Amino acid sequence: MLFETILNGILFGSTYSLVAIGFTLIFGVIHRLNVAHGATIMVTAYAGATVTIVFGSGSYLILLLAFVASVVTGMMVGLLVEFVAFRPLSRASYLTPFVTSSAIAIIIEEIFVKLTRQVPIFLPEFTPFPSPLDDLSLSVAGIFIRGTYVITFVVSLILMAILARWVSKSPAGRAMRAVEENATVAALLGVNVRRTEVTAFVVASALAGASGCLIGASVGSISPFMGTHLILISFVVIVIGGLGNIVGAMLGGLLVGVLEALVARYWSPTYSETVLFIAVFLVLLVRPHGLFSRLAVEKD
Amino acid sequence: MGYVETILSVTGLNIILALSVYFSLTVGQFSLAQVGFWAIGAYGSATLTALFGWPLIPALMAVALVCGIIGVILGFPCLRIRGIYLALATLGFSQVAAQLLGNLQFRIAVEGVLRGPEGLVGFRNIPVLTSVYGIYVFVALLVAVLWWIGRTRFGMALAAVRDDDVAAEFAGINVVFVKVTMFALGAAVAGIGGGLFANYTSFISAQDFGFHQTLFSLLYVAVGGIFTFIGPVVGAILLTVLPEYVRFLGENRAIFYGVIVLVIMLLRPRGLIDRSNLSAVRKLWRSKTATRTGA
Amino acid sequence: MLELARLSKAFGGVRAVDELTLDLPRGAVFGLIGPNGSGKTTIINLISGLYTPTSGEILFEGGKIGGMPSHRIVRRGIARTFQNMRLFSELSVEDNIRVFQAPHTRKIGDWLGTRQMSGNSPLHEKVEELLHKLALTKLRREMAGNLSLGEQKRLEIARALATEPSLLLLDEPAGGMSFQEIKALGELLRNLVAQGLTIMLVEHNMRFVMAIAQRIAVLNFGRLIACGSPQEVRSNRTVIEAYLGNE
Repeated sequence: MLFETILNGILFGSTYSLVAIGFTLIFGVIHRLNVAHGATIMVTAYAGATVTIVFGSGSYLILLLAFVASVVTGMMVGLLVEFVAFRPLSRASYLTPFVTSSAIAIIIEEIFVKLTRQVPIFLPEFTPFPSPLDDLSLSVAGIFIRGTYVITFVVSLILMAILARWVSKSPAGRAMRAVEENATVAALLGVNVRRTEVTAFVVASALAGASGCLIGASVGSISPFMGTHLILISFVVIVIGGLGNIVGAMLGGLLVGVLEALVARYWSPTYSETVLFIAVFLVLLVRPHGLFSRLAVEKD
Repeated sequence: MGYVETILSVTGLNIILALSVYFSLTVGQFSLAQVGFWAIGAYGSATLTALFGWPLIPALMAVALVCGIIGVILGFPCLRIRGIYLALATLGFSQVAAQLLGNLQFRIAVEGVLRGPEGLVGFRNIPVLTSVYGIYVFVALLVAVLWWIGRTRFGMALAAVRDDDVAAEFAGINVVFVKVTMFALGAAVAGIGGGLFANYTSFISAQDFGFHQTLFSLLYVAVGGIFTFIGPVVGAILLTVLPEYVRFLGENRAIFYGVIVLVIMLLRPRGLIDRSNLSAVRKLWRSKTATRTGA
Repeated sequence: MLELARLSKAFGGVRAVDELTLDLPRGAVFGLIGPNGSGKTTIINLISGLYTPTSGEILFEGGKIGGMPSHRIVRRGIARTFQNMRLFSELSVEDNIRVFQAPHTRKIGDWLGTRQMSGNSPLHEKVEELLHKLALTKLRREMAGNLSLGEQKRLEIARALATEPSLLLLDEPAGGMSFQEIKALGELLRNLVAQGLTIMLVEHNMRFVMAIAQRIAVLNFGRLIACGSPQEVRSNRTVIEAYLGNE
């Protein structure tokens, strides 16, 4: 059963990877944490849920539609957050954008607390996210695997591969890496830094949308507070993976998924977050640039 | 407890929390660990007073000592981490402390009744040993200490460490000692604040010490301004009183709160009180005290 | 007074300072020159405690100070300036100087008393003296961040002097200064030496060093290639080649 736990942890961890990749992508480009990233995901989850609730949860086509809705919603929310919480600020302090993005996260969360009470298709605490994946399960060599987790894992991998290719091959991706290294030099070389930053937000938030739909579908229900939970997980993943390190975020997400599953299974689900944050503290003491930082350097 | 008294008390407690964050800021360390120490102080004092019958002051001194010691132990590794990394590490500490304490379950029979923390349900029936007056005595003490420090050579050394800690080392200042000391003091202050909180509200639970509370401790300070200790005081007062003022907004109160914070930070990124209006604040203070003495 | 015995400092695979042995005589200006990257600033960083030696010893007045924390080295009497100037930009000029009196703020009363406490305190008098000596009296309440480059350089030196050192390490103090300012600096340094201070001067401005130093050491690639009076060094073949070769 150890293997089963680990496997399911890796599979579900891929959603954490997706969440964290968007988070770390933004950090890499503007060197600031977007605390509203979790709230963005929450909004996209509700967007996807709306589609499956309204149009019925039977078919994969509807699920695909929900996925698209989530991604598009993500991009819109991401643009809004960038415009309101980051654009107006000069890059002087790292504190101020942390506070403004926290404020927006609070606003978004409270809006949805209110919304879920008033809109009939939503329930106040947890709204179900129906999907055709709900009852899917596989049994391989006596190991029980939830079907949703496998689909989630596969989709996440595809998205991460697409992102990796985009970052290394496309002009926009290369511009982003240049700005990540040194924004001043990049500007001198003719890169439109402003546009690159906005692009990073849009891409990261599109990924957020994807993860919102995937998490909603695999967990089966969503709540206005899932954003807070996810942002805390994101903090853990990017510390383990290294701030700004995309490969690190990917591997870190899987690791966190495994850790969470192990603690939930062998100790108690209540303490999984506790163990994760102890890990954060230790990593920051011993290897503040993340466990996988050397990996990223070698790839360069 | 009258409504006004409750608001004043909550404001006072938030001022203490905000000032505890400020202690670390005096040496340029951005710490989110204070809510963790607040939790330790709260559960510690609650246990000592409810289960072992300790009076308030010894209980507060005990938690202050414990928090100070943990602060020293935590302070040393935190020397090596800076900026956003320090914020995340201290956030981790707060989360861990709050979660471990929030899930504590043990009970002891006190005069025939079982008392103690009951996990997520919370810690009930903590003796109410303080009131708005006790809280403000401590607030006044903190304000007096911080005001005094700001005028001394020690305060100047702190400002130097905050400005450039490498250069401060070459001024002969033992930067390690200064940073760890201020960190531990901030921890002790947060511990006392938590103890006052527990013995004021008589009921505490995990929700009082979560991520949102950590965010609030940050908001009081950021909105108020980090340049001087007056900033966190103003920030805490504003962000505690304002939601009450707009009670009529009902459900939309929390949304309004977020909007206010956002607007203030966008208009004044360095907070409400900074160098430019500090002298204005000082003049205002002087003119008010002058008129009071009949000048 | 100061002895460097086979001092080495390596960063990764690079030896910034290689088996350097040097003797600093008391009460003189000792110049340290060399092409870019020859290890001059590294030496100052090693002596002042910012870096720990990889091997070798640093002896000050007979005591080992290699690897000691900087604030303890300052209290032993070695002060330094920074080439890029690390002033406390949010503090006033006089407060910048006062902070550097930390090694001599012995009494608790001084630490906890109001810093503007004036009058007969020797600490206060010393601040006045330094402000006067470095021509900063008019600027005393200005924020250090608002000063011109020359004024900042003077403040940097005033602060180091506030620690009342017996050895002063100057890292490129003449950089960016006008001719007048350099003249004034030279006078100041001569006065200080006459009052008993020992000075080690790292400089690029060759004319300045030759004019003011009694002894000069030349570094190249972290190694000592010459040491002697300005005349000896000026006509030393190896020195000339080192400079020409690196241009």
